[in-house]
Amino acid sequence: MSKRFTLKNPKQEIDQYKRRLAVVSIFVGVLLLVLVARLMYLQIVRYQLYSTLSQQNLLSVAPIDPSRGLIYDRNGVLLAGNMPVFSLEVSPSKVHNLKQTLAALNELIPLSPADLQAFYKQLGEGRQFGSIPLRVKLTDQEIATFAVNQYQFPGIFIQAHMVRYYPFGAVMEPVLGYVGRINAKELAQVNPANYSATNYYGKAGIEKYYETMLHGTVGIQQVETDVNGRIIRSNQSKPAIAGNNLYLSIDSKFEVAIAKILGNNAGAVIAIDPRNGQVLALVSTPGFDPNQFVTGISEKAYSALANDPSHPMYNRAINGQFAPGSTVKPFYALEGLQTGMIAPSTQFFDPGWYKLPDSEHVFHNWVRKGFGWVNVETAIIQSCDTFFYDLAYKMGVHKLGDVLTQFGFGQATHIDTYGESLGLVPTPMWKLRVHHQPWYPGDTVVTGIGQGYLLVTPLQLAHAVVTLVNHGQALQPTLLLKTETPQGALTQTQAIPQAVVNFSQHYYDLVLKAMREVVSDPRGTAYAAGLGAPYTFGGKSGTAQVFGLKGNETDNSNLLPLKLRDDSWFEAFAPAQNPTIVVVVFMEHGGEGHSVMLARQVLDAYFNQEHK
Amino acid sequence: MNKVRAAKTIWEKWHLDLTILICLFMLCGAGLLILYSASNQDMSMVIGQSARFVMAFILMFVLAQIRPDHYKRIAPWLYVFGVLLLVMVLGLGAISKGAQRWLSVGLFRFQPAEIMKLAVPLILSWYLSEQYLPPRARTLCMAALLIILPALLTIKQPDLGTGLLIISAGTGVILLSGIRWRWVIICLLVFLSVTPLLWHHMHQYQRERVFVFLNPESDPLGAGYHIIQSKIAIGSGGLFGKGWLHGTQSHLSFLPEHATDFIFSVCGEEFGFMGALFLIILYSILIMRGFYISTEAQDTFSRLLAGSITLMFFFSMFINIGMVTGVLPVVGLPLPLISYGGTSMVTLIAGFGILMSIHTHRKLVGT
Repeated sequence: MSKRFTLKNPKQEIDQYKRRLAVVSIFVGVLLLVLVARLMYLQIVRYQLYSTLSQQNLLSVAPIDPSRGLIYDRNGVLLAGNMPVFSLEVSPSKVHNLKQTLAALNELIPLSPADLQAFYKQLGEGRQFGSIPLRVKLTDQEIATFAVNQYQFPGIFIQAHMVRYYPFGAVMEPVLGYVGRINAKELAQVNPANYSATNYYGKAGIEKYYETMLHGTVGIQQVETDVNGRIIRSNQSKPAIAGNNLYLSIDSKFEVAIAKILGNNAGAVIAIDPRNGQVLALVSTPGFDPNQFVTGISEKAYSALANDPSHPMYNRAINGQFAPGSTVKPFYALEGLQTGMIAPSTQFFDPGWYKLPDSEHVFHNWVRKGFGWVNVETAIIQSCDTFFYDLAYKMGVHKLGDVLTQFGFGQATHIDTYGESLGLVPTPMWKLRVHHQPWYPGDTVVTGIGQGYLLVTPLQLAHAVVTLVNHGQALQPTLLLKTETPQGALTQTQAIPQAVVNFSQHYYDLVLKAMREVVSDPRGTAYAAGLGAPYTFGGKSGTAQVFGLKGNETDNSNLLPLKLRDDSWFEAFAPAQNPTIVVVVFMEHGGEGHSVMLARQVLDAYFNQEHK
Repeated sequence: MNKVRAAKTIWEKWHLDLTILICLFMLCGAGLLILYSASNQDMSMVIGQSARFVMAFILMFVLAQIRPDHYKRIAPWLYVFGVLLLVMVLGLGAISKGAQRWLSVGLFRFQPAEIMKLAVPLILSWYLSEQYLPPRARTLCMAALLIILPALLTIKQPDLGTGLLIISAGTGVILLSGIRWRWVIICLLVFLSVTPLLWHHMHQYQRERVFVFLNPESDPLGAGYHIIQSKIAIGSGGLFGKGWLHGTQSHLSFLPEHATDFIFSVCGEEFGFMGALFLIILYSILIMRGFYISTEAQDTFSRLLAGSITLMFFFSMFINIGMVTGVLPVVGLPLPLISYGGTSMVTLIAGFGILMSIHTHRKLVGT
């Protein structure tokens, strides 16, 4: 039981405090002695060691750049590799007077203002390790010149780096993306120690999406250098681990053939295997050569690309958002059948035009005189606009939006690459929010033929057709086929099923049959394209009117100026029964029917190669 | 012994303590010299620091004029205010270097944790002086709570250094207030069992700091880099150092913290063991003076306040130098009065102002 003071006793308190203070003072004194002892240990006992380390032999830890994983196509053809390049590097902490040294260096080896600017920028970002590149891609002459004079420039040396190169250039860029110099924002997202020897980072496409897998792990090398920065001794304390190699599902021969077929036209092609969702080709033209980005593209070259009116940096395949035109009619047909709005045998008379009740506005069929009596099957075969105007009006905008959403429009497909656009499935609420206008019945009508506010990407369309062909089983489009560790262990990626669109198998059969007849029936819009093919295929064409100017000045020997010509689509699956490929061909300002002919050429290319 | 004096000295009239003043000036002066070198001869940083010194000394002067019983009155308000600010920081502080420690008010940015470096001693001294001493269990719990609340809020920011500082100094005060030794042992045991919980709440990088502390060579590219380079810099200074401005700098020039947390390494490298010892002696004189003032104080509140402010100062210095020499893990705490930066220095110098106030407001009547 502790003593309690019933009255505060100042004298006792002071004495007790003094006793306590004495104890605390001793404690403080001991800690101070610990510090002094530690200092004595470091500065007197261990003086020789630390002095040596600091003055004569500088102990540095140098990071070792890990080898970036290679990227192959499905057959082992190299799509992205590494090649050696020699650069001039500066270790700023070892250079005594930076400005003076650089000026002297400039007389030996030309340093452009752009080089210096980039160098000072990286210097300002304060990387504490290794070195900062001053000039990349030295010529052999420059290497020799500098080597002879290196003694004059302590802290500056030549470093061999492996840099990325893309043997296929512009053709593969929409798939691979490219790497560029790493910036501060990207450095903040990763473990900076792991990137201390790396100058590059994936900026787009597969290179960006799979950056972590491709980069590998940095190695550590303990080096002893003398005052001039020359390495005296090095021990590797931890080797670098190379990144994983990636095998993509892309077939490079197929991709090159498609690029040739598209030529200089602005457009995109996507090919997916509907059995597993593997992307066989992903092409967007015109493109640009990603090799110019790797060691740093000049501002002039970059703005030339950015301001090019044909938009080569625009990946139309996954970013382009366009009106799909008639390509969405089969989906609407499914919804109409499933909800009982129409039956397979329902007859509809097409006079060549359509009018909303209480409205004078006339919506025309693309064949002015109309197709007469049609049912859902022949409406698809001939792409009867009037039928679908009516269907859309009867279903209403919400049902239209509903089926589109179920087939993945207006959302991400979750393809394993970076930067896909989401397109747009319009709703009255959306129109009110964005355009501050109510939804008109006319808007629903034009949505019924894939025009108006509806926007899709070629990728989304291909994804939706895969679902259709699979009778409702959606599959995630995948680019990665398998990964290979540096030790050689292979991991195959599996097909990734997505939500099933549950419509009656009978209706799926009907719609797919109609799409086959688009090619095989003489009334079909793709009949000409199908003539003489050694294989069967089905599909649906689409032509979307372009509202507003697109400023494309590429001259063309056709009648209409290019910017006014319609966008052209064709979605196809082949063979017609049990298809092994789904293809979407999109041509910006292609004009009616152009994509259909290109699609035939694409399928020809596919079947002429041996495919498993 | 009769302590009545006929007239006050001029220092006493202005409520200044000569010993403290001289030591502070010498430390600040030394600090500017070291800063000039550490900043790679950046005069603007030195001028900025000097300007802050001037403001801090003005504040110190003002605080020295205020009578201690005023401090007693505002103690609880300051504490509540500080805790609220800490909560605000957690909520919406501006992000600086990945840690939320700052609040922006117009043009000013300051760290609320710094206020706690004064507020916690104040409130502990106030609280304990109102209780019967030695403190009973209930008092003890309350005191512990008063310490742990701001400490946890600070550690969550995350600012492990200041949090530890608050805990160490607070514990010291409780010790000074006469807690019975058996309680000390009990608390020690409780603390040991609570350590795993603390570990769980630490951020990954804070835990790594502890691992790296135990073996800095295990992560030479990452967290271990600072400690390794710091030891090399200090050790290579030898007995007399390499001379002012002659540190090889190749170790520290691109460390972001060399003008702040690791500035002692620059001192060790350039002024050697002698220089480092000189600094430590200056700090020790201040600490002894602070303890002396606490024994001469005339009421419990002043006594405890003087003791706790002195302890806070001691631990700031000990944690920093310990960290820099590899005795303690790296926790991110500036070296008092020497490291570049405003808020910490201002609170410390303000604390000395309070010490001066306590000492010079005594009623000079013999006991």
